[in-house]
Amino acid sequence: MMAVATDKPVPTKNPRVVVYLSESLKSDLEALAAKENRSVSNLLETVAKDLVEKAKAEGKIK
Amino acid sequence: MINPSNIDISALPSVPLGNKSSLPQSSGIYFAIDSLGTVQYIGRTNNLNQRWTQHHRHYQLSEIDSVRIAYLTADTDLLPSIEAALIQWFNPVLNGSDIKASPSDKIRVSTYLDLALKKQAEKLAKVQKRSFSNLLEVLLEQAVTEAIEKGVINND
Repeated sequence: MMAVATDKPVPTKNPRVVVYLSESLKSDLEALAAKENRSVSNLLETVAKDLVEKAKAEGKIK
Repeated sequence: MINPSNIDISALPSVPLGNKSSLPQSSGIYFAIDSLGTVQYIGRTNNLNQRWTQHHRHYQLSEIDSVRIAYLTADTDLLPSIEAALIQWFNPVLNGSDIKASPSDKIRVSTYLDLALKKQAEKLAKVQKRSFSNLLEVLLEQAVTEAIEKGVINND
């Protein structure tokens, strides 16, 4: 049997998060993500990770 | 068929734009009129009140002084032809023009985050007394600013 590609999103157990951005910030982010060969979603994950790690190191959260 | 030249806009029932929630729940044609009586926009709807809860021209109309929404109730099946005749007659400035959104209007972007990371970021947002969405927005803004400063992307 042949596999057929679909536009369905890949199932993920990770929770969906929603962020509201201005149009200019969104297009800047897309430009940045494209420059770094990654998705906006991945960019967001990285900046969130960095922030959490920094906050932990500073003792702001456990 | 309606004759647009017989319509006296000033005689139609109307509400100020800021009082749009008091529009009736009826089908009809609406006219956005400025303080000089110029018709800025004409549209049709099956429910006047509901249509104006979120109208794509609201921001542009709110920038014009003292706009009122006048309306003409009519059966839904007659609306398209009445609207077309009225638009042709009054030729409102905003019909067919570009839609301008408020600078504060934001786009909803959704993504997936690792559960543990999401929980920790939410905890941090709580500590900083801001919403999770706002925290992410600030982070992304910082990332973009940094990228512009380093010349990774252009600021144009």
